[in-house]
Amino acid sequence: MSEIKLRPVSDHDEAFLRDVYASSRDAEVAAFGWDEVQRAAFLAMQFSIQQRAYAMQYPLARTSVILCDHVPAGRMIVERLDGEISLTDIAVLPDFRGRGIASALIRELQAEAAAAAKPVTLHVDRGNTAAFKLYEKLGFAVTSETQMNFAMQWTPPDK
Amino acid sequence: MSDLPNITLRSVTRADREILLAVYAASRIIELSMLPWNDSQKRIFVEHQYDAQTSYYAEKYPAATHDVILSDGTAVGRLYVDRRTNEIAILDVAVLTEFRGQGIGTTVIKRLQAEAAATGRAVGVFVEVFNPSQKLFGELGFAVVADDGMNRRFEWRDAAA
Repeated sequence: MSEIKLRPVSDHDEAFLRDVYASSRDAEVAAFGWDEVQRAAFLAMQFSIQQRAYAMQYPLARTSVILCDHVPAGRMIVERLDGEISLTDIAVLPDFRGRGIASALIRELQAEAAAAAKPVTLHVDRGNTAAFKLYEKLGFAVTSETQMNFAMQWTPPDK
Repeated sequence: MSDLPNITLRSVTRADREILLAVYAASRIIELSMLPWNDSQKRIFVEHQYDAQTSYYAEKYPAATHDVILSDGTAVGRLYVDRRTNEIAILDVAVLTEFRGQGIGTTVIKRLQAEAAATGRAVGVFVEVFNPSQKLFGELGFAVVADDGMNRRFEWRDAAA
């Protein structure tokens, strides 16, 4: 049974975080038929846009490196607010997918939220069917939708 | 008079795919313009996103109306509306870039407001906080009734209701 832990990011993790981000968009970008140079340039730009957007939109968010048996396997960003715990982002490297890492971490977040009597919320891009299905499986329901995304929420069951 | 009589609606058919993709692409212009893509790469992205959205809507909102917006018979945009008991929900209203600023969006939304008022319902729509179309909703008397930091709900209700 793999041991999954989180540790806070440090400045040394920049390159790793970029890799995690790039790998999370691989399938999407592969469809565009680019060469390596175009792919790398696009993803580097998108990553820095996301960094800036997250810093601005979610100032209270905390980024963690996901460790699977002490090996960096992904990243998770969580914002703990008064009325909710918000899962800003979660991404697992391809080699570590299919092992239930994201599910395990989200369930832990749900346990923390339940203890605090708070819901867990998140937003997911409309095009990201795999993530949407995972969240549904973990008990999240759509609370609002726009042309671009779904807002989803999991509410702890009443005690 | 802010109702342009030459603006009409026509139900979407399969033959409208190209224009609908163009309208959808126009509504995603913020992301698309930031990217060093050629036209065929943009098209793949737009098609994929559009098809995912269309099948989701067809499944979740089977009674929704999907119309091409016509200006003097020319396709200039699209309107996707789900009529519910207490609300006329705008799933999408989008106009091609070159036809914006001419009162087309205003005409279409005002007609929905008139329909809502006549049937005792509100008009509602969700847009992202950075979506520029919210300016129009504000101008037409919609109020922000919910905001989760990413998605904002605008609602309009007839004052006489």
